[in-house]
Amino acid sequence: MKLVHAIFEHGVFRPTESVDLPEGCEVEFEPHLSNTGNDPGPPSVSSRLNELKTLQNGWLDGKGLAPDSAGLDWLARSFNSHYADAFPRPFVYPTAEGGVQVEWTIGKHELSLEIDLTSHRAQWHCLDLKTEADSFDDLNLDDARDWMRLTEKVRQLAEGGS
Amino acid sequence: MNSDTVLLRQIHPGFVQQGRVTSQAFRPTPKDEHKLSVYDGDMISAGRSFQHYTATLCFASAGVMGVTVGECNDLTLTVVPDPQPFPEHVVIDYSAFDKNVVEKKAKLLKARAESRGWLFLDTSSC
Repeated sequence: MKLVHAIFEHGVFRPTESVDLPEGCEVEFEPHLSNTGNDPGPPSVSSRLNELKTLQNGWLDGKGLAPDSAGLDWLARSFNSHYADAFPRPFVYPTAEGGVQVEWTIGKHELSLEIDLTSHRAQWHCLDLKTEADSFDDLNLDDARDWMRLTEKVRQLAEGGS
Repeated sequence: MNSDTVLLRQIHPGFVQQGRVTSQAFRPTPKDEHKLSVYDGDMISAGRSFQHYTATLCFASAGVMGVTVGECNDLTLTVVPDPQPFPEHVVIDYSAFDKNVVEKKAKLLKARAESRGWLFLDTSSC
């Protein structure tokens, strides 16, 4: 019999897909927590960038530069303006050089965007973990056309393209 | 140390978001002289390397991940013992490669490490 996924809400198990069983029949099962339903994913980019404002110089065992607060605000505004909520939310990390690296894992692809908060330039890297083929792109994040290039790359991969 | 030796990499808490590790954790920073520091897993366990790193060296670690010497060599990365700071210290040498190649190799090493999972996780910070 096909595995059934369900959400437990208000004391009732609600199937998340159609179930091929006669109405009113009784079933018994041993529930197992599923990874698919409860993972909230990463927080919004702006919220994560706000967290990075707490970093201080030396955050990386004495070596990391803290990202510039105004630069983080600029990046949050840019993401809000150019990156649609419908696209996969990326993970966001500080870099040792005082920048930000944004990363996505989409299927077999590892994507990263290393952003310089001063020059507003970014380096895109896309790696297919299966074939090990990769590609790079230099982007100017003050240019709306470059944001379109970026979002198109993410959209294509999210929709299963290459 | 042989090709099956697991090299233990301490993962800085700033390089972990919701359990996901950035590829930066597997590439040297500009101040590392293109060499990524790891512990020789034949000489020390993941848990003891964490203790040494956090308690003796007083650095921050969210936990320990690992790649083998063979996996590094497959990516044409040289693994060199460097016992000067402490006996178990080993470096993965990225110095022959430019920035783009380093990023690719870091992502591939991270994928190898992730397939192995956390070898030690600091539960005190959870």
